[in-house]
Amino acid sequence: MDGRVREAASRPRSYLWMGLAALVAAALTAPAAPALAAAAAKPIPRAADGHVDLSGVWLVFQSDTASGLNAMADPPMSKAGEAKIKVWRDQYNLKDMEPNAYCVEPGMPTTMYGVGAQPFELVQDSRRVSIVSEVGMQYRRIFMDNRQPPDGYLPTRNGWSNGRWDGDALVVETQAIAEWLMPRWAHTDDTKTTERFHLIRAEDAPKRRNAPPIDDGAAPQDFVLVEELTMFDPNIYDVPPKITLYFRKLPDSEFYEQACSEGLWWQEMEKLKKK
Amino acid sequence: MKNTVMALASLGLVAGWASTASAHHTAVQYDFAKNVVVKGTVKEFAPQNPHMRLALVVSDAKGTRTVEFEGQSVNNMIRLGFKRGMINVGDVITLNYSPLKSGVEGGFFRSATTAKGEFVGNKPPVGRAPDAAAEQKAAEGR
Repeated sequence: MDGRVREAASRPRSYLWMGLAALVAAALTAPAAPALAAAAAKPIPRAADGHVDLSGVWLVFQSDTASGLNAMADPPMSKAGEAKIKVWRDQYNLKDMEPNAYCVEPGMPTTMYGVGAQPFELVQDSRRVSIVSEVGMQYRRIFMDNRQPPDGYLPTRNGWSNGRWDGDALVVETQAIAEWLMPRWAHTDDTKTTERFHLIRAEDAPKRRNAPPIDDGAAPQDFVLVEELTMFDPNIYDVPPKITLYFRKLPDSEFYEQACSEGLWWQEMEKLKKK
Repeated sequence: MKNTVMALASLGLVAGWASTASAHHTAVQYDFAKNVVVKGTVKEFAPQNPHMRLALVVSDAKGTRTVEFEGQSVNNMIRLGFKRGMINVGDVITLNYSPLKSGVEGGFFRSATTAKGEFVGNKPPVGRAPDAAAEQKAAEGR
């Protein structure tokens, strides 16, 4: 996380004062600097309960992969982790295997960093935050009341998530994530993730690299959603893999259905076709 | 609605196609660093998930044959500007695609100029080569 992001996250309430200061500055000095004018025009959005409003349709446009990590590859594993993964993968010829082609999604943490070309919608209220990914229409429920999974809860692709507010940051901890030993952040079902979501001003966000080809390349406006994600799985990794993702907001209407498995259904229908 | 999945299904086209889908529709088999241009007549077109499917009758020095393509999922097609009726069976279109690495003719849809001259699909990169990694990522729905 760069210094600007950390500063923005740690001084969330200061935006109000920045806004007031900008108004005063605008009144006393003409013309006002564009950034100050923007700060005055757009206070950080807040929900009715006073928390920062993170809701919206978000599309990733940048990630911090300085550590060499990316969504398509496995992070560096421990020796024991590598051995475990090798034993499992060596059972199969995986050269051309792409689970997504069969509408099988890895779930967390890929649900978040793997949406490079497709957005998710975050819906927020005081009791629960929901995240729906356009990729395979995956659904995450983040409980804000600290309820825990029932005893013996079976792991699922996106696990069981609990959230809490840390100032203006939403902190989400997820457990009960189903094992995924294919490439892309392989993990066992002992995995836990921690995510920290917060807003920064668009002008403080890193510049986009190459836009995904389906992206119209528009610059982020007003605020950018930042997610700092860490995965903990001591069975596979000595050093917990981390990634920071930056999302720009899309109009609410730009979220579409992806009923992924219909092509597979047509295959079955073909078998049932009367001769 | 002759270009819809349901209409094609009634003709048995989608289902017949889908029977070969397991042999297709992984993005790793395409070379996204390359762009090939081809002109032909639309024989079949199915906007469906997880990947759009298109068959084109191509006639050139190699003869006349049907070439198959796949493309983005329906949500991404909407995002790329596809609209109902834009591509129809019988239309003559010009297609940009990333070819199969195997050398078999066909590939992954990148963009098309429709019979009405409309452009639809990935915007051509300006001043740089196609971003193969990004396109593969998008093709895989990630």
